[in-house]
Amino acid sequence: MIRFIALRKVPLAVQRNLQDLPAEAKRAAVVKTASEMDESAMLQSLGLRYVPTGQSAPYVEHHFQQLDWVGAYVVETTSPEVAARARVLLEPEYVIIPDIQLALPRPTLLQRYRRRPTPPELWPVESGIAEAHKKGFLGEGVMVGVLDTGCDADHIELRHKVVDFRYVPLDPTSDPVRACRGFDVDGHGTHVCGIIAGEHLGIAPKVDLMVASVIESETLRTSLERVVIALDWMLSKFRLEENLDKPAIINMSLGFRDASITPDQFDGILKGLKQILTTLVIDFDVLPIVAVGNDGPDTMRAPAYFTESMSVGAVDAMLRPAIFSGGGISPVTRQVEPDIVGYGIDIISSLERDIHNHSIYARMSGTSMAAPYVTGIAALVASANPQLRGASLRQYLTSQALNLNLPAERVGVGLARFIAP
Amino acid sequence: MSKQSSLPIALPKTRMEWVKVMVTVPRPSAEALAVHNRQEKLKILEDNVQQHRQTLIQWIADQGLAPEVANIGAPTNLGVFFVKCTPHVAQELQHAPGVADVLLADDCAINPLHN
Repeated sequence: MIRFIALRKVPLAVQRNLQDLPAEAKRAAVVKTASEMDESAMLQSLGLRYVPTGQSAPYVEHHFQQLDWVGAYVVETTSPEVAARARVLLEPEYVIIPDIQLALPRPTLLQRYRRRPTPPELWPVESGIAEAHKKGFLGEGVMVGVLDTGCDADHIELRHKVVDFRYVPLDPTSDPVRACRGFDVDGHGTHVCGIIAGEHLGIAPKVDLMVASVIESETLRTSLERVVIALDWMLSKFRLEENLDKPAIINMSLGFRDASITPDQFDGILKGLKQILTTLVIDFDVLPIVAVGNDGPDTMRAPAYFTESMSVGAVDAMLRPAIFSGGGISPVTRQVEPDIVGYGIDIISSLERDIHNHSIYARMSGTSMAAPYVTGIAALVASANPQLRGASLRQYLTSQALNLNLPAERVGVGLARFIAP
Repeated sequence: MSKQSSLPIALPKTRMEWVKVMVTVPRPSAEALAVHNRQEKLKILEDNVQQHRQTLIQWIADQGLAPEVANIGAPTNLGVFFVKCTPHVAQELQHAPGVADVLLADDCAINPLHN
C-alpha cells in the first residue's frame, strides 16, 4: 500500500487573498472556503475514491481523504501508477510527504447514521434491481430464511412486514425454541435482513422472511445443533399448503473456521453440515446461499465450500474483488470457490435500534453483506418465475451473472444480477 | 447408510462430563422421496426419525445407560437428533441399532462475516 500526505504549500488565507482581513474575519473566511479545495474531482478522475474524514475504507484499494482545515490530502493506493499521477496532480500546490505511517486515528469500521441517507443510495444499475422493481418483482411468494444473530423486527426497515422469528437457545436439547418478537443484540442479523427485505433499502422487500437467532453476540458461538434446529423449523413451514411449492432460499452469513475449533469438532461439523445441506437441497429444493469468508484469497469457511452451498464473495461498487474476500480450491470438493459474487463493501442497511428507539443505519463490509445481496437477487428471480427453485434457481443465477473477466477464485462466474427469466 | 465410527478414540474418561452428539439415523433415499411433494417428504422423514429415536430410547434403557443420558432432543425433519450424554454413552451409541452415525456437536466459535 502506497500512502502519502499532500500539504498545501501556500496557506489558504494567502491563496484566497484574505491576509489583510482582521483576524476574526480572516478566520471566518478561511473556514467558509476551507472545503472548496479544487483537486478532489481530479483525484476522483484518477480512480481514487473519496472517503470523508472520520470514516473508514480499509478495503477500498484506492482512496483519498481531504483535510479541509489544514489544507491537505491523504492518498492511499496499491497502484504505483495511480500514486504517481496523483503526485503530479498535487505537486504544483502541495508538498508531497511520501510513505508516512499516518498518525490519524483509525476510524471505526462502522459508519452509523441516525436516519436513512438522502438522497437514497440506489443499487448499481448492473444489479438489475431497479429494473426488477419497475416490473413489479419484489420477492413476493418466495420464502427466505436467515440464520444469524437475530433481527430487530421493529426497525423502520422491517416493521412493515411480519418477521417470523425464533430464538434458538444455547442448549435446544434442554430449553425450548422461543417464538417471540424479533430482536438482535448485535446488529449483524438486522443488517443482513435489511439488505434482503428492507422496505426502503432492501432488494426483495416482499419476501416471506423467517429469521432464526443462532449466534450469541458476545461470544460469537453457535453449535451444529442450533443450526439444525433452526433449519428444521424453517423446513416445517412446508407443512402449510400455501408454502408447498414456494421457492425457498436460506441465507447464512456465517462460517466455521477450522482454526477456531478442535479437529474432532470440525470433522463433526463438516459431516453434519454436509448431511443437512444435502437434505435441504436434494429433498426440499432449498437454495442455501453462504458467505465464503473474509480471510482473504486462498481461504474459505464451511459451509460455503460444500457443493450444496452457493458460495458468495464480495466486490466493491466498481466491481473489484474485495481484498478480504475468500476463495480458492474447496478442501472438500476441489472445486473453485466462490460460485458468485455480490456487492459487499460499505453496504448501507439497518442496524438494531438505539436506546432511544431510533432506527439506526450503518455501513458494513464483508461477504456477510454480499451473501444477502445474492439472496435478494435470487428472491427477485424466483418471484418472477416461481418454477425456478433450488438447483434450477442456482443454475439460472449462474448463467445470468455478469462476467467480470477476473479469476474465478476471486469472483466465481461473476456478479449476481436480476435478468428477467 | 453404513455406520461410521466418527468419534475420536480418546474421549474424556470422566463419567461426569457431558458431551453433545448428533445422532444420524438411516433414512429413505433421495430417489425414493423424489416422487413425493414437500409435505409428504416431511411426514415420511419425521415418522422415520421418530421411529428410530424411540428404538434408541428403548435400547438405552435396556442397556442400563439411562443414568448417563442427560437429554435426548426432539426428532428433526433433517433425519437427526441430539443427545447430551457422557462420553461413554457417546461411544456406545455407535453400536446402537438404527444409528447411522454419531458426531460430536458441542458449541464452537463462529464468525459472522462482516468487517
